Parts: sequence; structure tokens; C-alpha cells
Amino acid sequence: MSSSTELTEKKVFLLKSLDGVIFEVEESVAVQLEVIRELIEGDCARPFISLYNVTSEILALVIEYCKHHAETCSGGTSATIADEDLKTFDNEFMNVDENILLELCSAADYLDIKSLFELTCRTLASLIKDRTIIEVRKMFNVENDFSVVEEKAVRKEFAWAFK
Amino acid sequence: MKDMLDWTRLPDDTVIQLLSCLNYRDRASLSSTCRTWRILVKSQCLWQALDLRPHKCDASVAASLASRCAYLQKLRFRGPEAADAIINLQAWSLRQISVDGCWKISDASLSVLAAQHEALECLQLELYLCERISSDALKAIAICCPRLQKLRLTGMREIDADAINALAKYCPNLMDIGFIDCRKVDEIAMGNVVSVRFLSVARTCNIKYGITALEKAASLDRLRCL
Repeated sequence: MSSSTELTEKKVFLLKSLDGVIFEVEESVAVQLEVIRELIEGDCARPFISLYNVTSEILALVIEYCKHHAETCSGGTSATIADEDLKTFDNEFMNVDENILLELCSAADYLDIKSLFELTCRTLASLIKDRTIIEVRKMFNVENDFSVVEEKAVRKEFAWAFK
Repeated sequence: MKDMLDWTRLPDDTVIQLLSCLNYRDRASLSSTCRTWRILVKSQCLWQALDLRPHKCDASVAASLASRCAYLQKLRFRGPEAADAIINLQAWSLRQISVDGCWKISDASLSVLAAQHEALECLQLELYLCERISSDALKAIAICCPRLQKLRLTGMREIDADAINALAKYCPNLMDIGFIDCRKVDEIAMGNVVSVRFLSVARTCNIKYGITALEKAASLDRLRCL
């Protein structure tokens, strides 16, 4: 809980990325990261938090996302306008390189930001959708490690899905 | 040159979440790419619900799915061939079955379906032109599936007081009933199903809208007659 001496002042946290870059964020943004919200609720959040699995490039994006979502939700606009705004923002936000998308997804999972995790999963899924097996292998750089027998078995297993 | 995507950076549960956004066809494609993804696609949590409506489902298809259906909770399908094939899924823990369109199905098929899925809590059946379906099928459902909470039947024209009384006797948790185009629904028998909270009836000639008998069911909180 916030200390009684700083009631009027906005509480800030310093988040340190894997590569040592420090970001200053307000509490309203920090709590969107479920891992930090839990620390705060458990009263064990220190003002300086190291995030070992996230690079500065990705953390900057994550903070941009959380900041926009926090501001839109507390901005006093009507729910439908806020929803529209977030939708537009999310769409633009997902307009990034596929590798960044993968990093974002992984970070959202690690930092436990449900909405960003679902958004990145949906976007990644839309990239995979309607692709052939060969296209998926190429896209994700997956090597075919099936034996001839296994490949036959897996084709048979899923023959129904292609009908 | 653009870097290749390296999906191995994603933990397994993230990949599973990703897979849950995809339809079976796309999952099948992923499953067919490499061993790791084949194993992930088999994950139990992806096989809680199965919607076979867009796919042709016969006995051999159902048998090929059986290894994944041990914990299947919800199933949706259409067509009489699928209705007969479903038993090959061996999905004994099913809680919910929805049949969207079924024609030429028999009492025997429905009775077998009910007998094999005793844990059923919700059953929705949409039948068309099923002249061979009698009240016995519903009686079998009532006896075999005592945990039923929700029952929606469309086009089961022969349902009579006997069948409804069987529901009243064997299914104490039945709260939500829908009879659509079930011509012979008996209002007096309906009054015996005291557990019912939500009732929806449409295109049925036997129910008088005075619902006198139903009023006897003192626990009836809400009644909808469509």
C-alpha cells in the first residue's frame, strides 16, 4: 500500500530491462503488469524492479501499450469511444515485424499482461491461418524431423480436418 | 535479409494459447510440421471442446480422434452419420452435446448416444423429418443421463406425457427445458418436472396458454412461452 506521506504525489516505479535500461513508470501503468500488481498488493514492491527476461526495445513497447491503455481507461471518455480508440491503437500497435511480435508475446506472458498476451496470440495466429504445412515450416524456420512412418501417421491423424 | 522467426523462444503454454486461436485445419497444419508441435497440439486443454460441424465425421474419423477425446467436455456435430459415429470417439466424460441438424436418426441411435454418455448435463437436439423417433428415445435419455440440467429438443414430434414423466422421475437437476416443434408436449406432465426454472415452448399445439398445470410447480421462477 502507498505510504500516507505521499498521498498527493503520484507513485512511480523504476523498471530495469535485461540490458540495463531503466524506465520510469507511474503506478497506474505498472499495475497493468500483473507480476508487479501482485508485488504491490502483497506490499513487497520496491521502487526499483529488475525484469530479467525483457530487452529495452521490447519493454519500451510494452510500456507504451500499458500507458495508452491506462490513459484511455481513466480518461473519462465514454466506454464505446474508449473501446474504439483502444481497438485502433491495438491494430496499429500490432503493425510490427513478426520477430518483435514474437518477443512481445513472450514478454506479455512473462509480465502477465492478459490483454497484450491475447492480442499478440491472436495476431500471431492470424499469420499462421490458412497456410500450408510447407509454408508454416518456412515461416517459423521449422525443420521436418518426422520419419516417413511418423509423417504418414500424422497425416492420417488429421485427415478429417482437411475434409 | 529478414530474420527467420524463431518460435522456440516461446514457452509451450504460449504456443498452446496460440493454437487455441486456430481452427482444426490450421492446428492440423502445425501438427504436421514437426514433432514438438505434434505433441503440443495433442495437449489436453486444446481438446476440451470439439466442433465437428464443418467436417465429415464417420466411424473411422471418430476412431482416429479417440486418443484425444478422453477428457472432452463439449461436442457439437451435425448429420445422422456423425450421430452413429460419435460413440467411436470414446468421449465418456462429455458434459455437453449439441446436434445442430439431424435427420433419419432412429430411437436406437439416440438411446445408444445417451447410454454411452451418462455424465451429460446438457443436451441439445435439432431433429428434422425424424418420423422414426418415438417417445422411447426421450425416456432412454432420461434414464441414462440423470445429471441432465439442460435439455433443448427441436422436432421430436412424438414426445408425450410418458417421456416427460420419465424426465421428472430420473432427472432431478433438470432446470432448463426447451421444446420446439414438439407437437404432443403434455402440459400436465410438464407440471411434474418440478426442478424446471426456465421453460421455452414453441410450435406446440397441446399446451394451453393458461398454463394452469404449470402453476402447480411452485418453484417455477420464470416461464417463457414463445
